[in-house]
Amino acid sequence: MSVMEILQWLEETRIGVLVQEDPWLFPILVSIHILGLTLSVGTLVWFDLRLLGFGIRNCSVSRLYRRLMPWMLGSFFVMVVSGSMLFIGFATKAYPNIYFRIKVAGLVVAGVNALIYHLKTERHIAEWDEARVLPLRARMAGLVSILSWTTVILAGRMISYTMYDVAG
Amino acid sequence: MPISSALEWLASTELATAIQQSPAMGALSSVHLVGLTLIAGSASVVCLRCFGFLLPEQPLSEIMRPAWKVILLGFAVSLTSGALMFAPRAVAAAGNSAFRVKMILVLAAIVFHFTLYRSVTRSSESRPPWFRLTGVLGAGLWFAIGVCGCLFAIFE
Repeated sequence: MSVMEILQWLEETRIGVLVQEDPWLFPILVSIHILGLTLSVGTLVWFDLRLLGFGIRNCSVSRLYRRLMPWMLGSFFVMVVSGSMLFIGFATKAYPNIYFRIKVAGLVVAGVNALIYHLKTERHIAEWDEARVLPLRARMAGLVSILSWTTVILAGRMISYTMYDVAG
Repeated sequence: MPISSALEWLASTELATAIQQSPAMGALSSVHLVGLTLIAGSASVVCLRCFGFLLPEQPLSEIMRPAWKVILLGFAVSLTSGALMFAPRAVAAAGNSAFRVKMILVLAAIVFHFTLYRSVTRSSESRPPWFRLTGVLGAGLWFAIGVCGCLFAIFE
C-alpha cells in the first residue's frame, strides 16, 4: 500500500469525512488547536526561559518542571488530538505541503531535544538545580526548544494559507 | 479626516499595497500567532499562580514581574505584525465585527495591565479574591482576543 493510499483511506474514515464536511467541526478544531497552542507552548516557554536563566529564576529547575508538567502534558494532549483529527481530514493535502513537512521536522527536533535533555542532561541536575546560570547543555536545550517550537508555530500557521480555501 | 477616508488612505500607501500583493500576509499572520502564544501563555501561567495551582510557594510578584516582560514582548510582536496586516485591508477589517470586538478587548487588556495587574504585582498583602480576579481577567481577556482573532481569520 502506498503512502497516498493510506492517507486516502484516512480521509475516508468517519472522522475524516466529518472533519471535511461538518461546517462547524473544522473551525472549532482549528480554534482549539490554535488556542491550545498558547497553553502548551506558552507554558513550556517558561521552562525554556528558566533553562536559559530568565523568567522565574528563584525556583529550582526540577521544581518548576514538576509544577508545569501537568499543564504542559494536558494541553499537549489536546494539541495531539485536535491536530490528528485535522490531519485525518486532510491527509492527502497535508502530506505534500511544504509547510506541513517543515512543521513535522520542527516537532521531531523538539521531541529529540526533549529526549536528550531528559535522558542525558537532566541526569546531573543536582549540580545545577538551584543555579541561575546553567551549564551549556541545559541552556542549549532551552534555546533549541524555543527555536524548534517557533518553527512549528510559524510553519503550522502557513499551512492554512497554502492548503485550505478558508480565508486566513 | 473622517475615519473611513483615513483607512482608505492607509490601505493605498506603498507599504500596504506591497504587503497585500505578497505572500507576506501568511508570514505576518504566523508571526502574529507567535506573539499571541507568548502573551496568552504568560497570562495562563499568571492565572494558574493566582489560583494557587502553580508554584504556590513562590510570591505572586516572582511570576507576575517576568510574565509582564514576556507579555510586553509578545504584544510588541503582535502589534507590529497586526498593524502591517491591517494596513492593506483597513476598511474591510474595521467593518468586521469580530475585529472590532477584538480591538475593544485589546484596549481593555491594556487598561487591565496598567491598573489591576500592576497594583496586584506590587501588593505585599495577601488578598486572594483580588488575585483570582486578576488571574481570570488576564487569561480571560487574552483568550477572548485569541478567539476573536480566529473568528476574524476564518470568517472575514
